[in-house]
Amino acid sequence: MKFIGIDVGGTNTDAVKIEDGIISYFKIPNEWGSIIEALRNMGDAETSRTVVSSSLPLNLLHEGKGGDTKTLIMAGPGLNFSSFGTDIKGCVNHRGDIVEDIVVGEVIKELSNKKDNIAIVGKFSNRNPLLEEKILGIALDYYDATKIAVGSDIQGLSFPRRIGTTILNAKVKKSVENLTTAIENYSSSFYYFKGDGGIIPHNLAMKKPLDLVNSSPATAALGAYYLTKEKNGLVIDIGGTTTDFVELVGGRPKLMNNIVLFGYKTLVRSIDTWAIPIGGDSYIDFRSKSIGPERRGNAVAFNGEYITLTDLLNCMGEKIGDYNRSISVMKTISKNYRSLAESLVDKAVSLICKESCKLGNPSTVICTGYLGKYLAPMIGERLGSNYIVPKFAEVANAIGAAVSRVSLMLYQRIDTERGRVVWNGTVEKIKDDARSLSPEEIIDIAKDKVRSLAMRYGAAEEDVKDVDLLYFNAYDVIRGWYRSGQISDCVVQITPGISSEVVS
Amino acid sequence: MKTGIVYHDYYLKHEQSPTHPERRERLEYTMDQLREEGILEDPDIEVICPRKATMEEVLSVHTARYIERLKNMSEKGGVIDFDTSVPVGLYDSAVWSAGGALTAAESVFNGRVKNAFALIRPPGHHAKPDNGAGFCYLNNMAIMVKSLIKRKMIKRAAILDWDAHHGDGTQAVFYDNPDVLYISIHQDGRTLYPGTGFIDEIGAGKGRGYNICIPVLPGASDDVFRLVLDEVYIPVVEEFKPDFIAISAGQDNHFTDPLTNLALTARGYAEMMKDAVILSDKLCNGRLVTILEGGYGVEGGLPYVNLGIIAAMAGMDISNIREPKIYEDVLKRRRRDVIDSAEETVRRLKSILKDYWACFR
Repeated sequence: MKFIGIDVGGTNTDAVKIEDGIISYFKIPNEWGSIIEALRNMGDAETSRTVVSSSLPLNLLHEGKGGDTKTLIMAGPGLNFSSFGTDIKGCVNHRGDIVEDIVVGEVIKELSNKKDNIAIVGKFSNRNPLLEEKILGIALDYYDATKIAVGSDIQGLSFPRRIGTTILNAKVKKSVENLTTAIENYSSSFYYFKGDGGIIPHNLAMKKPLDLVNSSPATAALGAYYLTKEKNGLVIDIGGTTTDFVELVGGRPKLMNNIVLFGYKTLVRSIDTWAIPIGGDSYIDFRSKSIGPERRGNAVAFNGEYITLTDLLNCMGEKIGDYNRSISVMKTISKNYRSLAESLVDKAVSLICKESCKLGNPSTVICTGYLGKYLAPMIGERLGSNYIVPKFAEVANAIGAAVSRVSLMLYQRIDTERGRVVWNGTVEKIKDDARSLSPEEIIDIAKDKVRSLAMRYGAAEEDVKDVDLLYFNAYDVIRGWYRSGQISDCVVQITPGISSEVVS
Repeated sequence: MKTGIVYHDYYLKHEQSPTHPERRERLEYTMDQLREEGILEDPDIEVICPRKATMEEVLSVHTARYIERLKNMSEKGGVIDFDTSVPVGLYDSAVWSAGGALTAAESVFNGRVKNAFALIRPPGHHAKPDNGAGFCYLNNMAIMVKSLIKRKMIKRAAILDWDAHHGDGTQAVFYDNPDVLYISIHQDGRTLYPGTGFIDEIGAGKGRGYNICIPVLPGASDDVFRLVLDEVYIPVVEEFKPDFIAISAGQDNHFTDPLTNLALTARGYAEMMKDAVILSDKLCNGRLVTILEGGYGVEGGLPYVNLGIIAAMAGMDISNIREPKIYEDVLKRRRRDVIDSAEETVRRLKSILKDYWACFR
């Protein structure tokens, strides 16, 4: 089997093919359609497993172009959430029971007052999505499905975070849909790489588009591990536009729950990553002697107009692109162009090193990305750390995407008194009402479910063997001194990592 | 300043028997509601980890003989009364619970938070010096107040016990103590456990006049509690001038509670707490600790009643603390118009206590 990984960074789109352990790749500059071009060049996408890592559809959030979002909330009794949106009738309680129905007239009145997109979010809707589904049914008469996001697609407790996440989903759903449709023409089934280091089938990303955030640094971490087998260290991914930092712990990127995105508190889980706006294309301002944060286009070595960090490296003896062009332009700026370049590069290195020490001085750094191999010795020396530049470091991201496992996460809530199980917001009936399940049985139900879902989504049997238990809690329900049921919560995840199919 | 919530998963451990109503669900559901509301992440809220109560602190309230017996029963299991058994390991759970009350008070007095809610179990207000009773083993409230007085952090404390059951244990501890004002509003003892708490139980010796019981009839709702607060609690506490306000908060007055017959609403609770906070601001720099006692309407009001209380303590907007539609009929069925009887009780109470309180003259 062939494994194709495509990573869309800030500057380039990288495409990698791994076949029988042999890696081949190419880079193309980002343009509209660069993913499609990459796919076309790879050929026979239908017989390969294709993973796309791109937070491109989320860029419109950076630019504030997500449109106006109508937010309908069902807060029920509790704190006042009216600053988040319009609080309408309807309430699901902590048990997942509907204790107040919606009022259709009120919903229609609110829907008639249209905005660009709409978020529909109820308190505890992760425990019973029925009221949101009712409103969704009505909303489809007013909005296109790609403009509607519902809260029950998001797992975990926290109503304000569910609202924030759903609002952002509503803003980017359409843009993820556009990208998905374009790719589908070349590969009818492909995966998106998520910010938590796992991959999901493309149609699931439509429900939770925000999961694509931070996917590029996440791929760098996975790629760095695949290429070096180094389990612990700091991955420094120096791309065209930014330098991203991710810590590897035990061969996995460090994760964070409930990150803040674009000013909203969310329920999104992602790798713990941070970045500075320094990369190969960073514009150099010679008056203030500053590097970045602006990017005015390609480096001079790649037919650009302005000197960038890449051109400075060429002045120090590197041979990246048309290096002679870099040098001749720099000569027009300063006679001592080499020492000027050295001092500016030193400045860039010192900024990168300062950020590298955010979590303490790293003992090992793995440098990847476009400029990784050129800057690594300087970074290593300044930090006093062991530094590694793996082969194919320049496309470590795309490699990370290609080799990743399907790593689904499953939130399971079983309420035997109510005879229902909720799996990632979808309610199903269970037969064994009022029967007490042992913790092992509950966990096995969750593990079996997540395995069967992952395999349905194309995971290899070998890849779903390891399932992590992230949370477990169970207790009996007692009414009038009698046991009437049992409630259990369980969160499991297929252990993220490298797919066994690639390894073999 | 912040409001503290003293909580730890230790409080889920205690279980009298697999089917006893004083069970972990009470806190599980409340914590679910608090997490869902996002209140635990609110900058005005701080979750505080409890400590255990020491033997010395426990013995300041309970007799050595009782504690010895309780510890022995905790080894192999035992029974105190019909409703109250001692499961193995109980003593440890009980000192964690009492320690939670102490931690709440300490966090207020060391300035970490303005006020605090001890979300603890097992509860304590029926526990007397020489015996446990009614789901209670150690009197968390009494241990906290005695410790504060002993450490000279306060001289005078005012306790409001709004659990639907009369807090006979707390009353017994402070019955002759003029430094601790104990005011209990509860369902009439003729209709509910423990069968005490009548208006003539006014304290003894130097403590005469400092024990005030206001029994209310089944069906009593927000209007009755409002009356009692306005006519009795607020004026008496203002006159008493405590340097600390404590609340034994039993959430079993709510109209969805399965073990009692009162009809308070979540909003009614939040309003009562709001008044207590205003009083604490006025009299004692806002120093107030709330201790969870009973409340068994786990399916109904308990989670959002606890939420409403915390919101009121933190000075948050309580305008959306309301009842969902489905409970409107339940409230209608439970509520009785007993305001006349409550007014009569208050009138008689004032007459009994007029020699002790100027506000009643």
